[in-house]
Amino acid sequence: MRQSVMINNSFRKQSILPFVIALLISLPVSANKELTILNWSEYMDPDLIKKFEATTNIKVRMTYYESDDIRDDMLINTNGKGYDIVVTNGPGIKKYYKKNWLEKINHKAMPNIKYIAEKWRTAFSQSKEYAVPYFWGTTGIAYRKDLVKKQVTSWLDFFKPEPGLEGKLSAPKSSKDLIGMGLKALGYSANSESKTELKKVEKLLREQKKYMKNYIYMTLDNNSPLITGEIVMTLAYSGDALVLTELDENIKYIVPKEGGNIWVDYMVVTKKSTNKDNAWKFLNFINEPKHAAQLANFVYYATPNKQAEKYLSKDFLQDKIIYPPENILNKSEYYRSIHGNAKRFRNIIFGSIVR
Amino acid sequence: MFNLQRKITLLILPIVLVGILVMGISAYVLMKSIIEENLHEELEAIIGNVTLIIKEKIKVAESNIDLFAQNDFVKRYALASQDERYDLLQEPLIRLFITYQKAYPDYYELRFITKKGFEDTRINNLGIENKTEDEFNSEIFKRIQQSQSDTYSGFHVNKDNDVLALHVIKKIIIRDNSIDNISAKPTLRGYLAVTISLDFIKDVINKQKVLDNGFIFSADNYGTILSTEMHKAKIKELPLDINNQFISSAKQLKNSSRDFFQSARLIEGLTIYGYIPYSDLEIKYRTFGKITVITTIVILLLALFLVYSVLRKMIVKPVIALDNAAQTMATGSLDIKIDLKQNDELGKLAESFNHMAANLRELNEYNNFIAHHDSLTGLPNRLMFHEYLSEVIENAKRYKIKFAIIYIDLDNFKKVNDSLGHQSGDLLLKEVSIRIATCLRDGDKMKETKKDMPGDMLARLGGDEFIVFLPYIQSPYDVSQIAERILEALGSSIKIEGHKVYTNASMGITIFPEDGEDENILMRNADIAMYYAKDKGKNNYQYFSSDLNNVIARRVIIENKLRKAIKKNILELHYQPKIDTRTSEIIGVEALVRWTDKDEGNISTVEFINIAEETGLIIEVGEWVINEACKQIKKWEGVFDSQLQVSVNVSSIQVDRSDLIGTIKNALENYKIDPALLDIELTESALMRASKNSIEVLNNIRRLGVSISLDDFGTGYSSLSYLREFPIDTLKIDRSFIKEISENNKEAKLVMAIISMAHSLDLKVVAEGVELKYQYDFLKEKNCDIIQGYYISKPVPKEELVNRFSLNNYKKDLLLQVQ
Repeated sequence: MRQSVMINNSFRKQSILPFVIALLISLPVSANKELTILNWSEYMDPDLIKKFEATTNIKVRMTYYESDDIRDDMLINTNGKGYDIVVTNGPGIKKYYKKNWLEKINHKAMPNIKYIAEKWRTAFSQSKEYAVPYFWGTTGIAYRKDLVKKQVTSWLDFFKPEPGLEGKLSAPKSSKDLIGMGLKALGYSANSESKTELKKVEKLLREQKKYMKNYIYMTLDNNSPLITGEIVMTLAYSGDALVLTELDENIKYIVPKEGGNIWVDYMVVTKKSTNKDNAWKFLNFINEPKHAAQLANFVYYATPNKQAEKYLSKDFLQDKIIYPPENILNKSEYYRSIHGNAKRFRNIIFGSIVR
Repeated sequence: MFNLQRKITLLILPIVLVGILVMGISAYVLMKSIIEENLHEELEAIIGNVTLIIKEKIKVAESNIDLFAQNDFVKRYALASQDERYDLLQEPLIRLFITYQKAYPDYYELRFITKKGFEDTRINNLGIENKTEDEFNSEIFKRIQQSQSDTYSGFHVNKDNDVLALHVIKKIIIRDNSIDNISAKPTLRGYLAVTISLDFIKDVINKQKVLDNGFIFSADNYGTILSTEMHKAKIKELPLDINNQFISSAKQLKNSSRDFFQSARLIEGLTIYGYIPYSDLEIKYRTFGKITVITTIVILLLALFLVYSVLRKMIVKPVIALDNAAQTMATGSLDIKIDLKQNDELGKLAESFNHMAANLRELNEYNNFIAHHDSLTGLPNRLMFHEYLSEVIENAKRYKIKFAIIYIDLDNFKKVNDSLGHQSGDLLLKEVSIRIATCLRDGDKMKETKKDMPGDMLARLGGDEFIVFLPYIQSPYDVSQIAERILEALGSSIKIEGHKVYTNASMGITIFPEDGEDENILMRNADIAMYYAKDKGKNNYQYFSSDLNNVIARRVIIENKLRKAIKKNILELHYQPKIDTRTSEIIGVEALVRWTDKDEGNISTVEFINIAEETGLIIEVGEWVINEACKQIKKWEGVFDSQLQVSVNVSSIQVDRSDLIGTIKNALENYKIDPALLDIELTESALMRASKNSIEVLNNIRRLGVSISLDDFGTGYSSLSYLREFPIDTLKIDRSFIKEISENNKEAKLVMAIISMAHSLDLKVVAEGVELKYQYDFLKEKNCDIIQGYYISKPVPKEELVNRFSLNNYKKDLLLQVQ
């Protein structure tokens, strides 16, 4: 997943936008030739959109969020209304399912789903029935090889950085990633619910704080703090890192030896959507192998669409960042949704450290 | 005087001192209690202030928690199931709590507590670890459960860090609108709790200044103290009561330290205490004490000063003044007056004193007068005279002036006294003194000339002896005048009780400094002169210097005789002819006065003219001369070949003082003569002496037609200026020039020059004193107009003049030598 270029942590802004959209949607529309998608920014090829619009005459409206949490907030605020398609991470599916916000996959309207590898379809709870895999990738460390003494190999290089890097680190404000990868750094599972283990992670994160410049995910242009050198190391997602490595050859991306996180993004159709048909049409459209390949080339992420691989370049398919090696994949984990007290505990840890 | 002052001061001072001290002490005592009272109030106020601030904080916290609880999200959280909470809602709730905490950083812990007292969500910004999640047994939880209201605020120790904090907890009582219907009652869903740090109290406490070492602190019911570090030690020392609480609301501790102590119960759990150590109070007391002492001393000094100066002014000074005056009086000087304007006994005393002094002065003066004056006549007596005399001698020596003493002794007084009796004698003396006094000069006039000199004085020496004191005389003659006057005054009879009494006086005159410079000598010589006068037959006066006698005597005699001679026409005019050098004819004469006295014989013109001028008789003489001359001119009409012009000498006195013009005019008119035949001769010196009017007088004379000649030309100081200023017809060259003429000498040249000058001014020239032929020849040669002198003739009586000079007789004589 990609974080938006503009990370605007404005609660207020988020609140207004869905309301506006909800309002718009609630207006009587004669022919529902509309589609609203809630997504990360730069996570959709505009050309493809245009193509779709041209083909179907359906007007596509994109709404963006900067983090999973914010996405959750947006949906909570509207109570699942206002968006037709939502791009969500794996664990989110169960959350939204529980809230009864999800529409079951309409196989009939979306035959192209057959192109998607089974593996991805079942990766998460309720994902098979309610979510269409979008892209998958890894979570690792992006760093400036020229600005660190020791080359990064372990998560501990990030969580217990070498001296001199105070204020030179960054990470997205993602509790799953920080706590999860922290657990992995300490040799535990990223989905651990053990209080003792979590306490250790709490300590780890607390001590890391002084190295953190901020908990804001870097931008992905030439002004990126990783390129300017404001930060020398950050927790990053594979595709984003790939973009940066192409901008600056000093930037490297690695999934540390402990393994990282394999994330899978899905597209879900909201139950409260009034444009479900359009939604399925869209989902079907983008899962056309050619289209899926086009998308992949745009976002630089691994597509779950097996058939799309036919249309992808060798370079693409052999890129280690996009398609990490087996051993790393084996060590890496999917995030599970955490519940109950463990969740509570994580919430509290994250809330108190990452303010 | 110091004694009196000291006595009074020593008497009054203790009283004043005691009074002021009492005042000072009572002021101090009063102030002390006021200070204490103030302090008490101040402390109360401070505590009140702190309490107020805390209460305000609590109020704000309660309203904030209200606000938090109103938040939709919070409500939703409270309504949600556990799963929903943790999965979805807790993270946003945490974020919400964080934003609240950012706004209110001292709300260091925000919690959501479930109905059962479970600490569901806890956000702590101080990094304090959570000791327990179970709040069920906590004090706060118990309280809120028991409470009727839905909010509880109180001060409790936070079990997590054992630090006292302000806890505010609120019940969340809401309806679930998605499930319940409108009429359903809201139910308790959970609690919102805020834990607030008490740093603000510390701030407030710190800011409160309580004197120097006083301070505020707070404590809860369990003795947990909230105060600044440095005060903690002191607080530990403070006494506790039975309940181990600080003694509250005791104004002052009853321990030995006497510190101030006060308290105010706050809300649940916290009490504010105020403490002021006695040392601070002591400082205040001491300061005030110092002020009191200083003020007392100042007032005391002022009082002392006042007493001293008032005493001095009102009592001591007057007494000293009186004493001084008395002492002055004792030394004899009575010219004192005490200037004391006090309206009291001392003032009265001064007044009486002044009266006494005045009276004594009067008495003194009277005595003095009596001592110095003759009781009978009121004249100064011998004593006074002698005092006068010494004074005058001093001044006369200094200013080098003369004065005279006339010693008067009445002739035959004894006889009168014996025959008529003493009373008559006294009357006579009185009259005599009056008469003599009138002969003296006007005192004021005298004083004009010499300020230091007293006026003429008549004193009675005793018996029939008087003395006249003339303090300023210019010549002995002045004295004679007065002496004569006295003789005359006493010459006439005096009427005494019906009888005609005649008395004369013999007078002796001494003159300072000639007759002595010492008063005794002067007096003695005057006495001698007086006896001399007596010797000379009485009724006369004699000068001590015999020469003077003669000179003066003669002068007086001549004067008298001259007076008579004028009256009796004894004077004669002789005439000296003047010859015209060209024609050798007599053209005029100079008239000269001659006087032959039957006793004295021929009195020299110089002498009698001098006397005449001195006495002013010259005017009468001059008048006579002019008249006689005019008479003669008339008589000689036709007698000589040509009418003779008669020249008459005129003195400056006549010009100044007499009506010369009038005299001339009258004479001309009386004898009906041609004015041109009369000539006035004035000497340069005479002109010099004459005043400014003289020019006018001469001009007037000229206007009458009378001729004017300048006599003795060449002898005066500025001959030429007279030619310029005065109207002159003829110049008469002085005989001294003529006498000295010889071969081309200076005199000759001068004469020539004079002649030349005179001619150029149209003046005639007469040469006087021509005695020898060669002089005559010279003068004739040099064109001198007229000749006069022994060469022609000496002054002769009119008969002889006629005989010799009328009708050619003189021509023959010219060749002859001068007789």
